[in-house]
Amino acid sequence: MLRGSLEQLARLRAFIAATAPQFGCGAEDVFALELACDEAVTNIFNHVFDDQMGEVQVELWRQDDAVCVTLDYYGRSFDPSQVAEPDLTAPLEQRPEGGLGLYFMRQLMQEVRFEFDAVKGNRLTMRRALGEN
Amino acid sequence: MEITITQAANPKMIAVLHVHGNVDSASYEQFQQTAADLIAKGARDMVLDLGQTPYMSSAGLRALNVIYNSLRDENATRSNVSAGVVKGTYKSPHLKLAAPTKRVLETLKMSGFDMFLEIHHDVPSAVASF
Repeated sequence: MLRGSLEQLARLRAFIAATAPQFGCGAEDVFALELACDEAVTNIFNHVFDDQMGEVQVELWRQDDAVCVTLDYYGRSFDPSQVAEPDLTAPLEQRPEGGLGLYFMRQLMQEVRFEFDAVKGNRLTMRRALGEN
Repeated sequence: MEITITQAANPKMIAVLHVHGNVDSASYEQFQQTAADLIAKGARDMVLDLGQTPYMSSAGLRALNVIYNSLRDENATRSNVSAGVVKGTYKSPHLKLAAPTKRVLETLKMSGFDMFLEIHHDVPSAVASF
């Protein structure tokens, strides 16, 4: 359970680095999980909790030939399909600030699924196939 | 994360920021502000030493983008930059990276930032490239 704000990111990455190898993750997988979860939790703290204190429950487990992670939290929903793909060929001077977080998550994970429920809470599930990367 | 600053002469003065530690959304503002303070004091050419930076999230890239824009050559027209980008030849003449760690390099490539920033093996070669 992460309680607080962005200072929790180091704790999140340490948890993944300590836990993921037990599920058969190699160094590349650990890095991918750390970065994808960092980006996801950053978005939750910034855009759902509005930089206020909040709570995110993180679970990591192995499912067949993949490693999965869920992030559970309460707060507002958004439509992921409305988040524009960044133009990676655009010169930096023409790029908007930010906007790479969800792109990174989708690049690093085979599945990124959002479920929103005002009563039961929101859940972000990410899955990364092992042994293919 | 901590940042130390040194100056190199080539013969113009080049500010070298040595970034020690991870750059994420909890630390990127400090990174960005340190560079902004140097630019406000007149720095026009900068090397970011990422040899002691194990990890950078998209927040760090956001800071890089802001620093890049702050150091942009006002004489370079957008069409010149665009033409260079199309040819794959445009890189910032004022902001260069040195010795990025493996993970940071992956992040730079995944975002396409490596197309617009020179990446050197070490600080001396980055300084010599100005």
